[in-house]
Parts: sequence; structure tokens; C-alpha cells
Amino acid sequence: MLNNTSPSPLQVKKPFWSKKLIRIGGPIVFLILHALVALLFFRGPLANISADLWAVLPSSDSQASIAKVEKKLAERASNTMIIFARNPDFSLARQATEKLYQSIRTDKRIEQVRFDIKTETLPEVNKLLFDYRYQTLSKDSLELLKDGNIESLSADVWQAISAPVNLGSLDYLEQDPWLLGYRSLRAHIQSGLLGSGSLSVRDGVLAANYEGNWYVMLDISASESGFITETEGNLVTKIQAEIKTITSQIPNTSFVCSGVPFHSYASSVKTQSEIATISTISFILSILLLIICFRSVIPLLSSLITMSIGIAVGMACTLLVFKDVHLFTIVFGTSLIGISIEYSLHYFSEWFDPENGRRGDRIISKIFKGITLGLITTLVSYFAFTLAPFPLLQQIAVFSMCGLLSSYLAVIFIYPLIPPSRAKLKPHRRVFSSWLLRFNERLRGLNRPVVIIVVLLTLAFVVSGFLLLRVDNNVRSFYVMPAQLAQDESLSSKITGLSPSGSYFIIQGTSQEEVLQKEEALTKKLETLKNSGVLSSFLAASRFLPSEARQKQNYTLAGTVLIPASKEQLLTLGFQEKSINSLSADYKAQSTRLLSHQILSDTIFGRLLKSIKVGYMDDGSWYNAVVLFGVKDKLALSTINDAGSGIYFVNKIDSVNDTLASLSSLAILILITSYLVIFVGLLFIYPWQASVRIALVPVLASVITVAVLGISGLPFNLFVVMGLIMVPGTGIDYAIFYREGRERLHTTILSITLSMLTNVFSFGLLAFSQFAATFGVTVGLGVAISFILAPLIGEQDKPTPTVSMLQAD
Amino acid sequence: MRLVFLLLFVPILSVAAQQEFNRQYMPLGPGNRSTIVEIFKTIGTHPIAKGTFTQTKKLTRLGRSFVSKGNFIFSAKDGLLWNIKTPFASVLLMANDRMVQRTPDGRESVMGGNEVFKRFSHTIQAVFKGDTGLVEVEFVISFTSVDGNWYLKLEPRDKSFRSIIATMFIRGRQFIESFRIVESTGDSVDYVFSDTFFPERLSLEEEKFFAQ
Repeated sequence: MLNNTSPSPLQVKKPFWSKKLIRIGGPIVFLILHALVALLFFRGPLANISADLWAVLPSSDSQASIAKVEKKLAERASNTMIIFARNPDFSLARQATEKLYQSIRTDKRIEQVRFDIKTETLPEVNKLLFDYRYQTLSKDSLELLKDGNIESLSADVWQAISAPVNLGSLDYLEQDPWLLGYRSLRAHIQSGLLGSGSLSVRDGVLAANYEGNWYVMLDISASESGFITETEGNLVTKIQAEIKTITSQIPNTSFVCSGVPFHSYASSVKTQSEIATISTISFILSILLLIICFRSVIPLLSSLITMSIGIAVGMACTLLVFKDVHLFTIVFGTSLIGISIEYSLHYFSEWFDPENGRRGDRIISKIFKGITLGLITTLVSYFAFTLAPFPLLQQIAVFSMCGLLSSYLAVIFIYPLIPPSRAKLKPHRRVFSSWLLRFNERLRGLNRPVVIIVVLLTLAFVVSGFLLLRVDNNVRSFYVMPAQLAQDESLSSKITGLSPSGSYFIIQGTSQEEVLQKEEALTKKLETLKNSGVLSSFLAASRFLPSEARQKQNYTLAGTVLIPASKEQLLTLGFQEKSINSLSADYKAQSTRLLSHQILSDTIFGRLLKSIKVGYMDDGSWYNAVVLFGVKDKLALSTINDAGSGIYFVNKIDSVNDTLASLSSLAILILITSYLVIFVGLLFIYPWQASVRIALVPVLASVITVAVLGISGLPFNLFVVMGLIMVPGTGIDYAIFYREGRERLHTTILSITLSMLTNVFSFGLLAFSQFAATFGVTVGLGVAISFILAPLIGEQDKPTPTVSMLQAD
Repeated sequence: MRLVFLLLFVPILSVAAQQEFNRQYMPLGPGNRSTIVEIFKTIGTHPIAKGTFTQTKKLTRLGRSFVSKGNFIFSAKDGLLWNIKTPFASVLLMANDRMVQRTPDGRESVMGGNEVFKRFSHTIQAVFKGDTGLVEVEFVISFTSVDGNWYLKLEPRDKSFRSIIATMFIRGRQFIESFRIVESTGDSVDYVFSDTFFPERLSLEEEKFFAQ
């Protein structure tokens, strides 16, 4: 163990910072490192700020390849918007939608926008299903064929013939006397694949009449979604402006907007506004504080420049690692870097002290231990988070670690280069230090019974706080939907009949064929669950593109059962002998015909397929998704999950909540581990009793903070744990500074008080934000409580600092 | 026997039906509106109608026609039920919210979710109910009358509807006696009603049939 007695400042004859190598080498290293970051940053992606809400979520599956598939699907979902124009008059609703369509259709940010449905679509599908009638048998056709139920098939043909209208054409009757293609078309229409919910094609557009209003649909796929560099450049801004114009032109018209981009936009606007407000207030308060205390521009400018460089470095490193930086990362990251100002404050509090001989190397010697331990504490905690499967957490960790390191290096290598101050601390700056010491003295002077009562009351408070604590890791708390958007989403799912469940299956296979075969086995089970009310519908590629094996089976079955009976069927329908020969020849000619992705690509099925086909991934596997709608029993669906067979059930919201809960547990472990690491580190510097006392400051501050959260009904979640990780960084720092700086109490108390206030300004104000409220409350409280506890607990083994000491000082 | 019937009689019936509606129609206007409203009003005086029908479906590209026969029941409250007897038995129900085909073995084909079927079902019912307003919303109405028979020509306003049904023709006197649906493909279906009578109420069995 090292001796715990710190050398007096005057005893420091030759601090190692005074060595030429460090004095010159340090700034060079700082500049080289920052130049490198700048170089890499400008060669890479510039300022890609993401506000995509999906992108912020952790992957719900631990398997990397599945996580990638999830990400790909999430990106796709992030690009889709559905807008309805609403008007009691259909033609006005149609007109409004057409106006919006015309105003945005050439926008380069839009990949595809669908307004009018071609009248040829149905005949095209009809023809396709006729061409592949033997390969793509509908479910009911297959069942009748398996049963050899020719009579029913024949009766169905007559039923179609005797219907007053037919959606499909009967023109193929001679080549398809069992109407296999027609039956497939009918099955697709009935299953909702070619229209869903209240929606149907009316006057060439997809429309619905719901509760007295007409809704005409516009389906938009954006080429970019959550990426924003400026709010004005966002596609949603343009759409909203156009909507405003149209609603003013066409009376009684309103629009229903749904889709992730609208939410990402709403969230980003709110977050940006919160960032602007909070950082402005925090900035002004911090500046005022620095001006009042130092009355010099040097500490103010230096601190601000250091902090700005820290934020820039954090941003650059995050962009280098992740290619984009999420808006939420900036909210957390900039607050965390606010801690960096603490390093500056410690420096400048000493800088004004004439006893330091106005030498930077001497100042650094005094504060090095405190700020280094504070930095290590934070870095240790955050390093572990880079390994967590949560992109947001990883980004915040990288952002904060790099930003803090930059600020730390600036303080220890660059600050000593600042010319010595001519100013001296004025007595009025000691007023607060005196007041605080008196307060501490009184607390320490309390007699034992009072202390016991205070301790017991605190204990009771903590116990009741923990008993009332509500653990709640709900991903929905990330973002509270604006009321209008929530209404629109609900209405949109009622109109489309597609209630998004956030649940889906991912199918993995070694080839597209294997994926389709596995999917066919899965959809069979899903059909059973659908019939028992577990879900309302699902979208699977194999419903319109059967596997090759299934297509071949279908072809053979049709040949075995139908071709021999076709002669009688054709004669019954009044066709001649030549039609029979032609049908047999046509059947034989189709022996190698198979429906493929390529053939479907330009059809309506191709567009549907595009939304659920994931394709080949770099792990050598092929993937498809089966999207589920109207899920009522997730548990029943999860029983189908069979990772060993490449069938993965993804229940995004619940899984993300579970993942957040696991991450919280992991974060608590990280927190405990970092305390242990810090404690072991302290043992190398201080005796064990002192190490315990120093470590106790943030521990007790954290415990009391959590109790406050419990009492006030705030949830305990991952963000609280993230906040608690920040507490040792400052709490230990305060304890060490009180301990190390007792010989120069005025500067110590000043720097710690300023540090506490700037932290409370930056973190405490976050409590008023929507996204980072619990985080802000936790850090703000933790820091404030650490500040109170540090002089009381952290240095009990040393003579009590008194006002007289301060005066002597 | 069935084949002989088809080959001999179908072309004759089809040509006759085609000629029947091949007339000069006047668009609905102030001059004839009151007449049409009166016609619909007359049709609407019968909340229940029963009778027999002969349906002839003509597939132009195949050059073939198919004839079906059976009974029909119209109920203003429940819809229109076509009980096809020959050549294959089946039931077609055009209810307010769905269109269902049912085979004797109990298999059903529900086309309720499809807007075109739904609108077609609504329109046919509106014609039988004598609801001028609803028919006028969906169709451009033209009219003519010859020898005490009135003829209506209905052309869908909506292009999606038009992509399925090009024109509907209706002939009647006190009630609808025949109508013709011409699909956009050129295929057509003719209905000729006979032995029509107007009972006051449905039998219990018939009510059950509608309710199924």
C-alpha cells in the first residue's frame, strides 16, 4: 500500500509534469490524437444524425445473424408510411389524396408511392395464376384433390359459371376446366392478400368507407427514413406542409398519417426542442457560475472549448464506429461530457491559488489523482456497455468515453500551457466555502442520539423507498406518442384491418427453397392457430410462391387426379374432343414449369414479397419473415419457436423489454464490478478504512437516490442504472478531493461546489425531458447527495476541517 | 340430355336476350325522372317476391353459353337468394353485407370482403327494393319504354366497378321481368324471371336460409 499522506503542494519539488518529455510530449500526443480523429471523421460519413425509433432498440435475439435480419426488417419498416385523406365525399377524399400524390411523387427521397391501382392488375394476376395453375394450387383445391373429390371441384366450376359476376375470368375454361387458376385467385382475394380490412379498389384507388367518412390511401416507401440533418430536409416536413395546403383548399378534408417515419420525426422534433432548451439553460447557468466565481474569461473559454472539443470527439468517434449517431445519444452524451467541465473546474480553482506558484505542472500534481480516478471510474463502467447488445447504449458509451478522455487529456496536457493567472481569489469567493464548512461542522457536532435518529430515519426512508420501488423496463417509455399520431395509428389499423403486432417469425435456411419449405410447415401450424383465434392473419411468401418441392407435388397430384377426369369435365362443359387432347399436351408441356421470385417480381405478389423477403445474408443463410397480424396470444405463437430448425419467433416489444430488463441486471453487475475495481484501486493508494469511506460516498448516494425514486413513484429502469453509473465518477471524485485538498480547502470546496452545480444543471435539467427524465433525476440526485456526504463520510479518519482551518488557509 | 339442351337452346335464348335490350335509351333528365321514380316506386311496393328464373351466361371468347335454372326469393330485409336447380344445384345469397355461394355438400364461398361483390349485391338489392337514390349514386341511368315495358340501362360511375361490369339492362312492367349484366370482358349474363308472385312473408325455412 502506498502512503496515504499526500505531499503538501510546496513539498512537490519536481512533479513529473515538469519533466520536459511530458511537458512537450503531452500536448503533441493530444494534438496527434485529435488530428487523427478529425482526419478519420472527415474521410468518413459526415454528420449522419439518426432519429429512427427502430434503430435505437436493442436486438431481441442474441444470435448475431438474426439480429442483422431484424435490423434489415426494421429498416424496411422505418421507410414505410401510409396516409389516408378523409372526407365524407369520396370524390373529395380522392382529389385530396391525388393532390398529395402529385406534390410528392417526384421527390427524390421517395422510392415508391402508390396511389392508383391499375384496372389491369386483377387480369394480370388472373393470367399468372392460370399459367401456373397446376403448380400453385389453392389450399381448398389441394384438399379436394387429396381427397380425390372430383365432384365438388366440378360443382364449383358450375357455381362459378352460374354466378352473376366473376372477379376472375372464365375465358380460360377450355384449358382449365377445373378453374384451378380462378380458385387460386379467389383464395387470395378471400385471404385478404389482394386487399384487406375495409379497403377495396374504388374508382381506381384503394379506399374505405368507415364511420361515415371516405378514406383514400396513399402508400409511400421512402428512400431514407430517420436520417435527418436538418428538420427542414425531412420528408415528413414536406408531407405535412403539403397536407396543410390541401386541407385549406378542400373543405372538410383531413389526413390520417401512420408509419415509423412520422413517429421518428415527432420524436426528433421533441428531442431537438428539449436539447435546445435544456442545453441553453444549462449553458447559461454554467457560464454565470463561472463568471461569478472566477471573474475571468480564461476559465470560461477554456472550459467551453474543452467541452466542445469533447463533444466533437465523442460525435466523431461514434460516427466512425457506428456510421451514424442517434439523437438520443447526443442527449445522453452531451450531458455526460458535462462532467468534463468538472476537470476544468478543479484545474481553475487551483489555478487562481497563488500557493501553486501559478504553475500548471504543480496544479496537475494536485488534481491528478482525483480526476484520474473519476475518469477511470466512468471509463470502467462504460467500457462494459460497449459489449451490450443495445445500439443506443453502445453509442452512448463510445460517445462518452471518447469525449471524456479528450477533455481529460486537454486538462492534463494543454491546460498547463495556459499562462499563469495574475488574479487572486477574492475573499467573497470564500463565503460559500465557509458556509458549507460551518454546515458540515454542525452536522459533525451533532450528539450521538441525534446522529442515531438521523441514521435511523435515513434507513427507514431507504427501506420504504426500496419497498415502493417499481421496476419497469418498458420500451414504450422511450417515446410517448403524440395524441393525434396515436389516434391516426389506431384508425389506420382499423381501416387496413392490419393490426401490427410487433411479432413475426424469421425463417432461416441454406437456400431459398429450404426457407420456403420450412415456411410451408410453419404456415400450416399458423393456419391452425388462426382458426383457434390466436392471430387474425399473417403474411408469408409461400402463400403466393410455393416451394419448388410443393409446386412439383401439386403438379403431380393435379396430373394424377384431374387429367384422367378432364375428358368428362370438358364434355360436360360442351367442349370438343380436340380440347381434351390439347389439355393433355399442355399439362405435359408444363412438367418443368416453376413459379419463381423472378417471375413474380413485376406483379403485385412481387411487391408483397419484397416486404417480407430478407434474402441472402453474410452468414451464408437465406431468410424470410412471416409477419403476423392481430396477435392475441403471443405465448401460443412462441411455442412454435424452434431455433434449431431455423424458425425464430420475434416478439419485438416484449423481447426488447426483456432485453432491457436483462441489460439492467447486467448494468447493475457492471456497477458493482466497477465499485469493486475502484475499491481495489483505492486500496493501492489509501488504507482500507479510508478506501471504504471513499467508496461509501457514491454507494450511499446511489442507495438514497434509488429510495427517492421509489418514494416518488418513478420507475427503476435501465436509464436509472445508467445514471447510477455516473454517480461513482463524481462521488468518489468529491471524496478524494476533500481528502486530498484539505490543506487548500477554499479551492477544493469551490471546485467541488462548482462541479456539483454544473452537474446538477446539466443532468438535473434532463429530468424535464421526455426521454432521459429518469436518467437526469438519478444523476442529479446522486451527484447532489454525494456532494453532501463526501465531507461527512469520506474523510472521517482525518482531523475535521473547520472554518478556522479555512480562515488560516 | 343436358348437353343436347345446351347445344340446342342456349344460342337461341342468348340472341333473343341480346336483341331485347338493344334499344335507344334516353339519359335520365327532368323529362323522364318522374317516370323512373314511379317505376322504382312500383317495384318497391313488393317487399317480398318469389319466382323462377332462367340464367344464360355467355362467354364471348369461348363462344359458349351456359344456362342455369332455379327459383329466386327476394326479401327487402334480407337480400336476394338464387336457388339454382340445374344443371348443378347451388345457392347464391346476396345479403346486405356479403355474397355467399353454397354447394349442396355445405361448402361455402364467401365473397363478402370484396368491395365490387358487395356493391354489386347492394345495387341488385337496390333495384329490387326500388331505391332510385342508391342506384343513381352508383350508376348513370338511361331509360326507354316500349309497349308497356320499361327498359333501364345502368352504367357504373366508378371505374373499378366498370372494370368488372360494363353495363346492366333491366326490363319490367309491374316488377322486374328480366335483366342483363354485360361484363367489361364482353361476357354477359341474362336473367329471365317467370311465375313471379308476392307473398306477404317468408316461410320459417326461408328465413332460416337467409340467416345462415
